[in-house]
Amino acid sequence: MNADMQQIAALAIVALAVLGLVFRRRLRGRRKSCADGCAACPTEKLRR
Amino acid sequence: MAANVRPPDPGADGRGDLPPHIAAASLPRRASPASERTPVYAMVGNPNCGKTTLFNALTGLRQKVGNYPGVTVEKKIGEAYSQHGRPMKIIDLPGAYSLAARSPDEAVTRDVLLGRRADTPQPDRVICVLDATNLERSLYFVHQIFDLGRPVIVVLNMMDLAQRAGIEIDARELEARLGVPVIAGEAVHGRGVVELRLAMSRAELPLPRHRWDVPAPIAPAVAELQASLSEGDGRPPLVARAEALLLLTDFDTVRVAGSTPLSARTTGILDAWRQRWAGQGTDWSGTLIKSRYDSIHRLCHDVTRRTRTQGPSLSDRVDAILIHSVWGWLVFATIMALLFFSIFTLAEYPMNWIDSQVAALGDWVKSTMSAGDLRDLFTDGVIAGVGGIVVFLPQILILFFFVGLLESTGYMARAAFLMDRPMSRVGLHGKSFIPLLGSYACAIPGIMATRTIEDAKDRLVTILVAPLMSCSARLPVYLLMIATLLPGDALPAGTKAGIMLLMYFLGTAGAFGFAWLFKRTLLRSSPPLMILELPPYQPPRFKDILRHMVERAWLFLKNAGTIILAISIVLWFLTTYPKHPDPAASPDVQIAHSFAGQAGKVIEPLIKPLGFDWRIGIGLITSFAAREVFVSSMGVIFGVQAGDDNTAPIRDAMRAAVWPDGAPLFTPLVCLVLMVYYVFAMQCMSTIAIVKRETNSWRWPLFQIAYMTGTAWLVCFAAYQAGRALGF
Repeated sequence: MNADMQQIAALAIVALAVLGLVFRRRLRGRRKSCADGCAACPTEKLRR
Repeated sequence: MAANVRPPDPGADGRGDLPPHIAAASLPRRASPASERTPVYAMVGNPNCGKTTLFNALTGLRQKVGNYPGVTVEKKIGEAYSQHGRPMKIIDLPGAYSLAARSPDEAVTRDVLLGRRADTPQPDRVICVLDATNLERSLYFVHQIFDLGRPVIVVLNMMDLAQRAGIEIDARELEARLGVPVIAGEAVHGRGVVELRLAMSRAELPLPRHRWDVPAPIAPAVAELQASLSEGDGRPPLVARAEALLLLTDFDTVRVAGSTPLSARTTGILDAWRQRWAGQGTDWSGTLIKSRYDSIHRLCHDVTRRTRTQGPSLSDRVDAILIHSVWGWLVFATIMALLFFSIFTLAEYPMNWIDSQVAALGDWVKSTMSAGDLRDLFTDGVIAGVGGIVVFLPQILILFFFVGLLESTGYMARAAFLMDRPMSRVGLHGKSFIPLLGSYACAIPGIMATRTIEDAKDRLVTILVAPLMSCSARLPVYLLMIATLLPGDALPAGTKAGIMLLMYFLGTAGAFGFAWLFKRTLLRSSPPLMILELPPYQPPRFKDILRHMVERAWLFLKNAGTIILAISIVLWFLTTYPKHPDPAASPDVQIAHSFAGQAGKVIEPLIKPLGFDWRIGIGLITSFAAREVFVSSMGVIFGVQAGDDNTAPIRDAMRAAVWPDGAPLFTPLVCLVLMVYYVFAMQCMSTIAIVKRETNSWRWPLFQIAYMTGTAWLVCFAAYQAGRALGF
């Protein structure tokens, strides 16, 4: 892969990371149970 | 004089001798959940009686359990299946000693049982979990639940412990007397779970029939209030009766703990009765409570038998040392020292292994890919950022292993007992200890755990100071700084552990100091009396501890693979672009020209008095998302700077970092000051969000950011300037 292609690929990954951070909450999806059962977890319904 | 208000007795037709206006209501005769709706069970009982263990066994969930009161502070909903394969909803509720809630966690239980929570279905049936070693006390709450007129299943948990203590309980006799299914079991060993599931699968369950006569002077008040609550406040008939009894016994606590407002008519009736009794000098509240206990005492007398006179138990004998005013502290200090020593010694080998694997991965990528931005992104962004943080996984696991061990054996409650005296000196409640201790792992569950504190001001003080306890996210920062401060293996693990212990001590002292200050200024209140139940010691449940460790490890790795990965990638971009016009420029010049370099230069004047340069400044900004991001940020910044040949651990790159004049950046003084900054500064968005939720306002989290970060700056300024003046 030449330098230009590498640059395009790197910038695309950066853009994906930014989108991931911005839409983190929406991407999180349904949670399973967790150890604390509370910590910053938006849902209290911990169904399997 | 005989009283005429009684809890329902199913009698021959299952409806019993209910008052006429209740009998007319549409009560379930035997309250069968035969409708299409999924039946809802509430699981209730005193704190630390094994509700969550039973809940986990029934639902297959993995809610946190521990051998101390107050582990569960919020309701949890799970699903189990009947023997016929029908789904059943189970609500695990925080432990409570009675319906008269005194703290926010108990209020959750009360409100769900009384059907006041809009977000929670009202339970159709109630599973009362009883601690068999404390039957009389446990039955008080059950007695109040009987008032609600719902079908009840009683689980006599910890029967093995009761037998060991010489208490024999006739479960069949208890069942006959209460009129509800009674299941003897040991939730920890899974005994009684099948029987409970079978009982829950029954299409119909009898209503409780234990008779309890409300004392005659109080009966007319109960009847009048019940009618008003039912008609004026829209309560279902039996809930109205239970609430009437509650209002008459614990009016203040019911009001304080956030009850739904009562109608003017009900308040008027209540005030009138209170005034009338006050005029007569009758202790109506005490009479009501005593009559309940009398009834329970008679019941317990008939169903229990002591097989031997109880001497001091093994727990009592161990407690003679562990909560001793001298030996207790010695043991406590030894345990803490052992914990920190283990973090350095035991974790060394797995850490070195991970470190070498991360370096090998970096080398492999470099040898496989041709030079370019994508390769740099992988090596300097992803591997340096994520690899830099993953290396601390063994230490995090050791910390959680020790904390799990203390929780599981029951030592945690003893530690709270020991800490009550020093904590009361600064005006903190002894109950604040468990939230504060929990904050060593993470401030979020710590802040949630403050719900067990009754007094609102005490609770707020604890919430405000909890993030000062050094959480596990600070651990990687401390470890990196200690590794940078003390290179190589020249110094023994004991010295490193000592520095670490000092940081933990500093955070704890800071928390106590600020609690003292807040209790004397913003949040004045008298120090309350602490009543804490010391659970019997139990052998550690390694299965639960290991499960908890795996969950924490997964959480840590998930964080590293998501948020930290994304931040590392973005940070790599910010430290690489815009590129310097001269491609041959040194890494130092290149990064100074980047977006991150420019931003760092803007804030540098603010942090230079602390001995920090703009590169550290970037780390401080990015780690506002989570403290451990500082480590990955350093990995990215110094990885980028070190150029193509960098595969060395971050600490080596940091040790080589210099100011423009050639002076070393990370001097021992700067490393210490940086650790101190992380001890005090509020650098966690999740904690801010949870404080906002728990205090229901932005005022307190904003105040917390201001006072913590302000303190961090001032303390670091003083420490750095004093250190410089002394020639360090």
